[in-house]
This record gives sequence, structure tokens and C-alpha cells, in this order.
Amino acid sequence: MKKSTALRPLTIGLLGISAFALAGCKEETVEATVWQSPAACAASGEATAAECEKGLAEAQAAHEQTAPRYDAKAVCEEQHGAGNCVTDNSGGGGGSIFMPILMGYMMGKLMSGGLGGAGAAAKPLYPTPGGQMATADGSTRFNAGNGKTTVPSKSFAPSPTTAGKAPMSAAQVRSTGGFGGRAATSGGSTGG
Amino acid sequence: MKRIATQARPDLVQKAEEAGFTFHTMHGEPYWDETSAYAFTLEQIETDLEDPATELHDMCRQAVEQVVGSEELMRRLGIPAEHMDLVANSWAAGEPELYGRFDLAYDGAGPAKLLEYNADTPTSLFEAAAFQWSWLEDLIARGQLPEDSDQFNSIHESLVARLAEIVAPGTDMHFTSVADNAEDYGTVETLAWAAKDAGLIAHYTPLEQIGLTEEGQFADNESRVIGTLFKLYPWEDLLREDFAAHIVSSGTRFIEPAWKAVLSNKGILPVLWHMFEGHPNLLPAFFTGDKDGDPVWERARAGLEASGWVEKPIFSREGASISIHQGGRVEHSTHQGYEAHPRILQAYHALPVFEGNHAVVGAWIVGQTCCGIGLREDNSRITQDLSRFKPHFISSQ
Repeated sequence: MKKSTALRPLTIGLLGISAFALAGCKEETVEATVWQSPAACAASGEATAAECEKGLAEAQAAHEQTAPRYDAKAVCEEQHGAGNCVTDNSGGGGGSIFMPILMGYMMGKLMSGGLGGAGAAAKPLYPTPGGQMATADGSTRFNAGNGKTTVPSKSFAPSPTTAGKAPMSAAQVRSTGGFGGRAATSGGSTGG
Repeated sequence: MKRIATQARPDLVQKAEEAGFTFHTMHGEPYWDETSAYAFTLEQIETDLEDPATELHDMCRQAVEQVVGSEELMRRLGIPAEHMDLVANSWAAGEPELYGRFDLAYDGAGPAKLLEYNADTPTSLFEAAAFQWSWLEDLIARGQLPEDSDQFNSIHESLVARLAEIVAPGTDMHFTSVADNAEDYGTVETLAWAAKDAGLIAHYTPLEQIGLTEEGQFADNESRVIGTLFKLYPWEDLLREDFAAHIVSSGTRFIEPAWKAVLSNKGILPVLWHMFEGHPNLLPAFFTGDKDGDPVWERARAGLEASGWVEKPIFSREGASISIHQGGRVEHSTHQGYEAHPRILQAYHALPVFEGNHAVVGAWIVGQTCCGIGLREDNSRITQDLSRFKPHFISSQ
């Protein structure tokens, strides 16, 4: 016999039957709200005006400490879109550190219905070149807008401090997308 | 070798869809086509395909040994200068290969001729390893093929054994391919099933989402470090991209190993012809720019004038940028895009034609041994991505 003697029928690309360890399916998620302004937040009725303002204040404080910082405006704009970067005036750097503007903020919702609490402080959101909003590390993204959503719990983990640290250079920024560029231009299957 | 009309299963589409084989039809045309199948004798399989393909792989390994010892040859084969050490060192370290697919011209009578070796990123693995196997089982169960019908296909078993041999049990093994490509994903998941059966834990990450940690390690889309990475993406492209500089320092083990970059381009064909001139399974082949004064070329010239020849870029896929020169006429492939690359020429050897269909035999190598075949046919003599995959069986006659 020249063939395999036993082979259960293999499947490919099916949700629910996969050869791959399921990614993130047991990840904890939390309800969150995303706002581009405290006014939009208050108008929605999802939180009180005071809670909306508090969320912005927390996000702004986090923004000062943890916004992505770059050593050149062009590098910042490549990550966040033209016109979306300003000089970091927080001291040191002498006008040569750039950071994106705040585009919005994200607030977590506890099971009890309240907002905030330890580990759920509001997080700043930054523009992406495509007009979306993203957390400082880029891992959680939203379309521009206001409203309720669900995010992985880890999205609310505190971001590392960037204030007073060496800013990112172009080489460091390339945290992903370092493979596959030629596929993007040639298109189609790269197999043979 | 015969092409036999067979009854397509009435529930074929349902079976394919249930298996996730969504690309059974592509661009509105059948890709998987079981309205006919190829029949071989056991003698043809063993003597003309299995043993020669195993031998060809060994010859290719000898050719790799030659190439990595020569900067000039590595340059001709398009290995970037800054990565020649990476390639040579992976060979010197004996990094083990997993799989590859020879494309052979074979008509059932004469010796099979090597057209090219897809040694780095062969696809159609699901069709060859799994779907054609279940086709055979179904037809036997339905009485449409004799009970003792066989198929040259122990691809899955061989992959399981080879993976168990080269990767420690319990290893987390990552698999990557370009996102949103169903055919590539099919090949990768077929390998992942074999990995699972081999006691490994398989993880998928789209190629574009592979990241670099602060320590210079490659990480997946969940920020986990990648220790072992199967990539369905060509070395010649990887070595020209931003992350190439980090490959060695990352500590990631790549499958296929970097020395496959030497085999995954058609530049190996002239090397093989010069090492094994006259071998029955090889076609004369030369670098287009380098024939003058080469005695091997002088000996091949008259034959090439008579048979015609095919010019191919050293890197190309799916029959792109190929031209066939015969009797004073030139036929160009419909797909272009690789004109800028160095080219080789190879003696033209006609594919067998069955009822207007040009057939190519794909011989699968797992580890260092041939363990199966998959056939494709095309209306055109240049096999392209619209070719159909055809099942086969071994008849006892």
C-alpha cells in the first residue's frame, strides 16, 4: 500500500475545528465606553457629566506620562497621521520629542455598573493614519466615534511611562509589519 | 499512465465546503476536478517517480553543498550578500528540512524530467495529502474504484513522523502565512494537523502581524515570543525585508531552514546540470548570461537548438514571465512581473497531453524521501494558477 492507512478527514479554515491552539478565546473582556469628548459622553447618558469629566482628566494625566513619544515629527506622523503630532513640552528634549494628540478616551465599566476603580482608569486614545483611534501601544483600536464597546481586559492595563525616557526612533517603531512587504506589492499567493 | 473518466461525486461541493476547501472552484472555474483521474501502475510509481524523486532530492542537497561554498554561485542564485553567511551557516549546522515538491514532466514511459523544485513554499498540500485521499476512499466505498485501488500518498503520515523527528514533543510551534489567502492557509493548517499529531502545539499568526520585541525576538500577534516558526513565505522575499536583519539575532528556528533559499530558485537547475550532466531525470539548463566558453554548453547546444528551450526568471511563481523558444518562435506566459530577475534557460521538454490537457506530476518530498504525488493539468503548456488539481490512483493492472 502506497497510501496512508488511516487519515481522519482533515479540515482547513473552519471556525470551531482548528489545528491551531485557539487564540484569545478565553481572554477576559470588559465593557467599555469610548468618547471623543466629555460632551459626547454626557449626552449619551452612559455616565454622569462628572464621571465623563473625570474620565478625561484621568486620560489626560495618563497621556502626559505614557503617550508614545518619537524622536522626529515624521516618525510620529507615520504612526498617527499628518497633522496629528505636537512637540512634547513636558520638559527635557528641547523641542525635539514629538507625541500624538489625544483623540479620545476609553472608560471601563465594572460589573456593578460603576466606572473607574483600580485597574480601570480611563485610557487615552490616539489617532491612526487611517482615521481610527487606538490605545498607546496600538493593540486596541476603534473606529472614530462615541459609544459602548467590549475590549480585552488587558487593554486597561497601565501603559509604560514614556515621559523623560528616550523617544522611539524610526527603527524602533517598526514593531510589526517587518515581514510581508513584498507580498503586499506583488499580491496573490506566495506559495508555488 | 492513463487519464480515466471518473464519476464526480454528486455531493462534491458539499464535501469540499464541509472540509473548508472553499477554493475547490476559483475564478468561476473548477480547481479541484474529479471528472477524470490519472491511473498509474505500481511500477511506474516506484521506478519512475518515487525512487527518482528521492534521488533528485539527494542530488539537490549535493548541489546546496556546492553553492554555499561559493560566493559567486550564491550571488548568481540571488542570495543577498549580507545574508550569505546566514544561508551557509544553516546548511553547515545541518538544519533539517521538512518538505518540498518537485514538478516533473512524466508521461508514463520515459524517465521523469525535473522542471523545477518548489523546495521552500510548495502549496496544494491539503489537496495532495488529504482531499485526494478521501476521494479515493469515497470512490472505493461507492464501488466506483476497485477495492484494492491504491494511491501514492503517505504525505500526512510522513509529515507527522518528520515533525516528531525534528521538533521536540510539546514544543509550541508557530505557523505563518500571508493573511487572507485561503490556499496558503490550507497548506499551513494541513501542516499544523500533522504537527498536532506529532505532539506539538500549533499557533497561527498572519505574517504581517509578526512583531519584534525590545530584546530583538520575533513575537506573535499575542506578543508571545516565537521559538520555532514555519513560514509559508519565500526566503528570497524574507531576506529582502525589514526584519531580515533580525533573523539570526532573534534566535527563532525557521522551517524551512535558510539553506532552502538555495533550492527555492531555478538557479539550482544549471548547477545540477553542471554537476550531473546527462542524468536521465535532468534537463540541460544554463544561466542565460554565462554560456560562452562553457564546454557543457557546447555539448548541449545542438540538442537545445533542436528541442527548443524555455527561459525562466530565477524567482517566479505560477508560470509568470516564462518564454518558450521553439523553431524560431517565442511564446510568452500570460502573467508577467518577474522580468527584472536573472534568468536561466532549460531545454524544452513537452508535457504529456491527455485529451488536450497538459499534465504535471508534483512529487512530494518529506524529510529526504518522496512520499506522494499530486497532479495538475492545464489547457496551456505553461502551468499557471488556473491549473486544475487532479486525483490519481494506482491500478493493479
